[in-house]
Amino acid sequence: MLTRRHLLASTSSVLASSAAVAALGGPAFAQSGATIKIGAILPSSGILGSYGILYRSAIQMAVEDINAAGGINGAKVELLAEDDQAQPNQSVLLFRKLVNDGAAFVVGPVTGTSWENTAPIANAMKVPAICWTALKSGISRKPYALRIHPPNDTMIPEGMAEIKKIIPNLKRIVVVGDEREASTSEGIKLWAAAAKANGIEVLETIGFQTGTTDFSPLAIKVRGHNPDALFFSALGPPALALVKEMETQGFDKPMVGDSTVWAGGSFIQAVGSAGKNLHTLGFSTNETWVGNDKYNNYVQRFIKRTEETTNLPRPINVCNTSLAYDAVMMGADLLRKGGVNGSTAPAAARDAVKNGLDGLKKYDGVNAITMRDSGDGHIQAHVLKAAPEEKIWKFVLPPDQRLNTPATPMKL
Amino acid sequence: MMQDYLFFAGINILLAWSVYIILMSGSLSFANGGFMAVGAYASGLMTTRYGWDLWLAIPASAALAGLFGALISLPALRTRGVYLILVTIGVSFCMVVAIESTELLGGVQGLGGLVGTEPWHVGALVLAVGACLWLVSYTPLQRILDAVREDEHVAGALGVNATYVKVVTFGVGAALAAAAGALYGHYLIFIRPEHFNIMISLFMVLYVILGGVNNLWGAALGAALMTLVPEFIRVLAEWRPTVFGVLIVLLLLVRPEGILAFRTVTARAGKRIRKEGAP
Repeated sequence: MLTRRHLLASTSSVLASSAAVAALGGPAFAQSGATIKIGAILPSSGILGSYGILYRSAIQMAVEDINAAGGINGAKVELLAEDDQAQPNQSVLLFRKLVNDGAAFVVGPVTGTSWENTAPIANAMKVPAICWTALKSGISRKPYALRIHPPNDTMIPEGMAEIKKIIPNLKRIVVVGDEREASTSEGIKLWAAAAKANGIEVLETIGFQTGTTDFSPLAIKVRGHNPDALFFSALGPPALALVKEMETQGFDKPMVGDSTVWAGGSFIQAVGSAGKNLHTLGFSTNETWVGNDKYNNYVQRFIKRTEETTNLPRPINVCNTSLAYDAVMMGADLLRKGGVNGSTAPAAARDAVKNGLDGLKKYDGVNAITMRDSGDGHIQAHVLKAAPEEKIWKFVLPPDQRLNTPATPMKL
Repeated sequence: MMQDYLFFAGINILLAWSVYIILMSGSLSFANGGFMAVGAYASGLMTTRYGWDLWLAIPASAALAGLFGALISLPALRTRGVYLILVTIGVSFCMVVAIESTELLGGVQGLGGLVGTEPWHVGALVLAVGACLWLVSYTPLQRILDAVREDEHVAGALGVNATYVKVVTFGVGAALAAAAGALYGHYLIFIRPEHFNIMISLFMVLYVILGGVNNLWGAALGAALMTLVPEFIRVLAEWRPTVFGVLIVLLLLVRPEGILAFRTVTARAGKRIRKEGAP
């Protein structure tokens, strides 16, 4: 039995340790006078930790570049980065925390679910949020929550059109995907719809559950159809297991994934020989882009910086990190144009960003981004192919042969 | 910001108590994440689709989940120990899959537009539920629950309908988890089935085990600590989950019976016995 003395001792030790921990956490949020604070929500631990570490490097690089160029109207930028572990409730909590800490705007969070939770809160709190990832369509909320990444509703139809150019004899396909995950379940439907719109027969759409590890029965079923290609939509770990199983079963036809496998810090390094027929959708790679010095400069510096500051697998995957960089640069430009400096109150700084976002039609950063009425960005998607020996993605077509016809957003 | 921390701590205290209430009669439920989902989705549907007031939707969804919990407990309570745990885990999985497969609830895409919860609402419910549980500890009902938990055959011999007691506590625990889920959903604005996966049920049980299974304060303390400590060690960056995990292991090693491992009534009774000089 516990006596009162034991109870008091237990409670005291708990309170003391909590107080010590609180004191430990305090200085992390210390403010300095003449800086402009920018918030970032991204996972640096948990299952998407490698994604967050990759993106954080780009964000940090943007902040360093802004400060090296004299800051925003003379005020240095301070980055407040928070780890949400890709958990939506943590994203919401941290968004509120960053608002409380005085962030002029917030970049992130990373996942579609977290973005879907955070976007309405950004509007309710009147604090701009700029998302540079997330694929699910229709989840941005104007005027405060904008996503500069193109969603699946344009990426997939554009990708399918380019695939048709690359594989003219493509007639019959099978679509596979994680039907329990929000963005990939949409991805499956969009692949099927885009195929039909391009006159391609979908032999079967096969869904699997999040957490599936044995893809053997699914691979047998796919092979049984003898399709011209396999199209899939799945997050990195199940996608990796799927393509490796297809290789094991001797499937040597093209496999095309949506951009979920393009992004991130480890898929392309891990895919190995299973990637010999693997394609994805994206708009940037580790390759040099002839005639685009801004992009080439970014790629070179990002790879160097990330190799020096992280333990991520080599070579560093550039993927859509340039959009994380652009998100910070875009917000900083809007603050600059709005006349914000170190003495501007956070509310006024947020208004400046929101007003800037409101009228933004195009942004010419590392990427040339066109803003849609839905609050989402548009960048033309292209077909990339895995280069397993080099462990990087490469464009399939040279620049002058790639399609550059923006797709009408596909509705389901 | 602190009010957000307190909001989530309050939600977790309610969830810990929802497990504690079921545990009072000797059953351990890993299905409370599913009951929480029932509360969040049912109330969300009522407010967003049918225009109900949130204050009507919360008790209605809690009643629905309570009834659901009681019905599920009827067959589930035919099992004991680890088998009951497995059944409740199965229930939790089934509920998530059922929501994922129901278009009316948004399926895997989720349900949005849930608004209306303020942090003080959770604080008020914590106080109300805490007061009820505290009052119960002074009533004969606590002794009935103690008897059923310790030995339901003996309790039965004393005229207590153990099955009835277990079903009622299962229903009440489910209703409380649902009320917490309704408040949680209307704070997050958008909910998806994965918000209510088995991990959330696991954490609820962990709150109670870490805090102490024998009294309501232990469950509340466990939930509050497990919610607040990770927030205050953010300075540790990517080491945070590791350090937090080590802290939990150390806590279980040092106090395997929980931080507050006493029984309120027993302690009070012991004091009375000593005072009255009874044997």
